[in-house]
Amino acid sequence: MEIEKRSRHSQIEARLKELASKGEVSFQDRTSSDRLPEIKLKRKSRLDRVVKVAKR
Amino acid sequence: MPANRHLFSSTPVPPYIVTDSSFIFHALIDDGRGFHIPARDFAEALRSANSTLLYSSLIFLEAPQCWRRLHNSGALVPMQRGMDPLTDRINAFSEADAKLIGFLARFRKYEVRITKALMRAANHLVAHYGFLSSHDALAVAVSDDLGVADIAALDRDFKNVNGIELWDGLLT
Repeated sequence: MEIEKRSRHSQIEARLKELASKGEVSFQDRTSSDRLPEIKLKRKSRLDRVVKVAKR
Repeated sequence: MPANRHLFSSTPVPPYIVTDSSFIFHALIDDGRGFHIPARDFAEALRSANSTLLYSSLIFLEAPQCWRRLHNSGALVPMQRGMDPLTDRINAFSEADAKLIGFLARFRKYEVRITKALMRAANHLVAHYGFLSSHDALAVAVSDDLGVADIAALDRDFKNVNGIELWDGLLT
């Protein structure tokens, strides 16, 4: 299974290399290792509202 | 046979994945439809596993169209407010562009140029399925061409495409 996976990955990499040599794909490695930023939600969730009402 | 669909929490995450613009845009910006957090979390799982993203260069043409829709619906508000609606819109678009670049910078990735062969394949897929848009068909054509069965998309059209591993979080 692991060998099969590795062989599939090498086939994909080989195809990508072939396309890169023809200029049909361009490779870019990651330039940042940061986690994706957490986005603060603008709206309060329904749960937040329920908790607020329950606290009153 | 329809697509084999995956939850965003399924493991292991694929090492190579074709990312449709619908997935990337939802992972970036919350439009209030409930897709943002799951898509963002799956993107973070892909980043953490150093998966390789494969996307078409058309994403940079689709982006302003998406920003326009989000801006008009009030989901894309600039951090830097201007004195008039035009400045606001320009600021909102440029902040969203920067977010997209910052998002992609975190991944190992290949940008796929749209060749005539890919366009022909996409054209054939649109005719074959009857329900796929040209842009969605292009993502499937890229997936076929590269031999990468995994596609991340939040567009319901992909559900009935044969032979793909669809990462849609079962949300669409």
